[in-house]
Amino acid sequence: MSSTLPPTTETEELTRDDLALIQEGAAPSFPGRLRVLQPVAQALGLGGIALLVGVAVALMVLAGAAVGTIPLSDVATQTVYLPVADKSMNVVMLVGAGFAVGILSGMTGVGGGFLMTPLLMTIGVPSAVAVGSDSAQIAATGSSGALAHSRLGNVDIKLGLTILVGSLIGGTIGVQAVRILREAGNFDFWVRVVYVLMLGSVGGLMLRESVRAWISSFRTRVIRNLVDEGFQVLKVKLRVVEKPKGESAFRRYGARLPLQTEYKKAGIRMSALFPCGMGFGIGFLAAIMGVGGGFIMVPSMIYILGMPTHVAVGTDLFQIVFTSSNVAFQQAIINHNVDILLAVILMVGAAIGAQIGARMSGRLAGYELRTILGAIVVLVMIKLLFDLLLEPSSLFGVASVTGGGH
Amino acid sequence: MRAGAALAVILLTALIAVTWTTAWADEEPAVVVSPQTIDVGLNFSGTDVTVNGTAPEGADVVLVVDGPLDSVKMRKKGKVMGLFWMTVEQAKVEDMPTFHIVESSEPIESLLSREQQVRLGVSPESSNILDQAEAVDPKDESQLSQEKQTEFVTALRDKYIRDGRYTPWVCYHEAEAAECDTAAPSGGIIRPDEAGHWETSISLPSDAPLGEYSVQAYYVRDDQEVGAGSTTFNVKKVGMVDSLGTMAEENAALYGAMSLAIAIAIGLAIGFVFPRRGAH
Repeated sequence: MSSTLPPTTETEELTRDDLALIQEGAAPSFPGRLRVLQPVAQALGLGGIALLVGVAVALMVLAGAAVGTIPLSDVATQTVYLPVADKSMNVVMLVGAGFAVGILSGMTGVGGGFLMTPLLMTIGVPSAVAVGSDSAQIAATGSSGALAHSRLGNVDIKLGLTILVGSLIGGTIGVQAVRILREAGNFDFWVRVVYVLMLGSVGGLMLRESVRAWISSFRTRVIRNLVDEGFQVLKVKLRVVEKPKGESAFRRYGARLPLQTEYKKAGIRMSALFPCGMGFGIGFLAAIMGVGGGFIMVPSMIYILGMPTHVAVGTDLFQIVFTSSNVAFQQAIINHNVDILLAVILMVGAAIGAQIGARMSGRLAGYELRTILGAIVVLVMIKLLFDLLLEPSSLFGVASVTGGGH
Repeated sequence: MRAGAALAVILLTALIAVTWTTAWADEEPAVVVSPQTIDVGLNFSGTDVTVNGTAPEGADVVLVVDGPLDSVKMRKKGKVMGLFWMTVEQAKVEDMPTFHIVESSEPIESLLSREQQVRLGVSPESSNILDQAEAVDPKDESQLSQEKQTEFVTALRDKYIRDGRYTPWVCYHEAEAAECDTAAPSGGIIRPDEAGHWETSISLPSDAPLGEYSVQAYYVRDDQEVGAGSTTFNVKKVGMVDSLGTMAEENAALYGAMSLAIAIAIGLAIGFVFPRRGAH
């Protein structure tokens, strides 16, 4: 997501990743008789097959509904009783929530935890359960990404561990903060306030950036029409101009801090206190908001620390797995708010959504994707802001007696 | 001789048993619920419980179903800094049934006097429940003022009515009654046949409280109770809902570790099926 220019770096990176995975022998190979499937798998990818199977099942269900053997209303109203949330919820709605966030994360590459929690709260999952279960789900979805990136050598372990020192402490304190806020009866309120602040600032920045990108892309198009042949040269120039700037003041201040450390893979040298402090903040937010924090961490690593995009993404995924695991584990012990069934249902929806999102993203330019994401972030923020400002339909609420609320 | 004595004892016992049960049956006509145990499993989404019994001749039926008593933490929201709505007061309401419905064959006002309604716990505003419940400060368990007591307890009753946990008899008989926020529930009016047999169903919501429910039938004639019958049924978690829910509460560390292991295993499996997923 580093390029602001139309050519999609997304597709290029994917082919490179695939090649590397195949070279390392990580590509799925079928044993024994199933080998006949190998050419199909290579043509479509295992994900493609899974999607086809999913579409086939969906068609069969629809066909069954048309013939009348499966009443469609039964499918649409199928519920599941969540054992920790102590609530019966509509399966279609839960898978749909996972699916919607999955599409977005597939399209844009962000984890989507920051959209999942508000969405779950909106459809009626108690906010504490939404936050806790989301952490388990993030640890899970992050793990496969982290594994793929570490195979590709995109993880700066030293930097990742430095961040983890901070984030494990931050996460542990965050879980205690959740407990205290729940006891004080205002967790719902504060989680929304934190969301409004975070989403408001991030969404605002994203929208500002994408407006600029729209303008610059418009300019590029105009110039492209004028000088078609000189375009390549111009593109290079534009890219140089777009390089991150304004790091000097920060760098100068950072150079004075103690514990200067060299992070080879990230190609940076800085005080270990800085990534550690960033980790603390992310760990705390992970516990309060139920997010992985990639939407803050990755841009900070790229623009503030000046790391290459792929190392930033890889290292972030590496720390997310451990940060979210720590948070989910502690939430389960202290706040009893991790519903594993809910997490698994969301993961299934998100996995399917991410595939469709990834296929859609090839058709859109980076800045277009960021405009969509920025708009969604701002809309979610406005929704939560209204929750805070509008008079509730009932002044009295019952504290969820599930987990911790004794 | 001994055989004769034994025979006499057996006969006597049988005779006593027969007369005793018939006498008992006369006093306490049986009330039967079905099912007697409601299993809350993965696909539980609320259910109906059938109750039937036999009314003495010419008597009207009043049926009261109460869920288990529970303590509930309540929050009152208020405007803070003239802008935000947040919790400003908390209270713990104790000894309030989590479920309460009253069904009858006729509007209870026309069957029972005010005193009798209160005595049987079937007054339209569920006053006996409100009197029995108690609101305390969640921090030090001290009693709140009478005014606050009434405020929180009444608010909880109203919330339970909205959630479908409480249904006062008025809601069945008068669709527009002020006590009923939601649309009038179906059924709830008991119609005994000529022989006095009656059957009705109680609908439990998808978040039905767990525990033992008491079912109490009163038979009334001319403002007098002429018979009664009672039974119970049980709502409990079963299978995965039970094991996961219990484990999450009682063995939280193991539950947390297991949840993470399951989640990460599934995450990796999904990553294997869709290999492009993490690689941005």
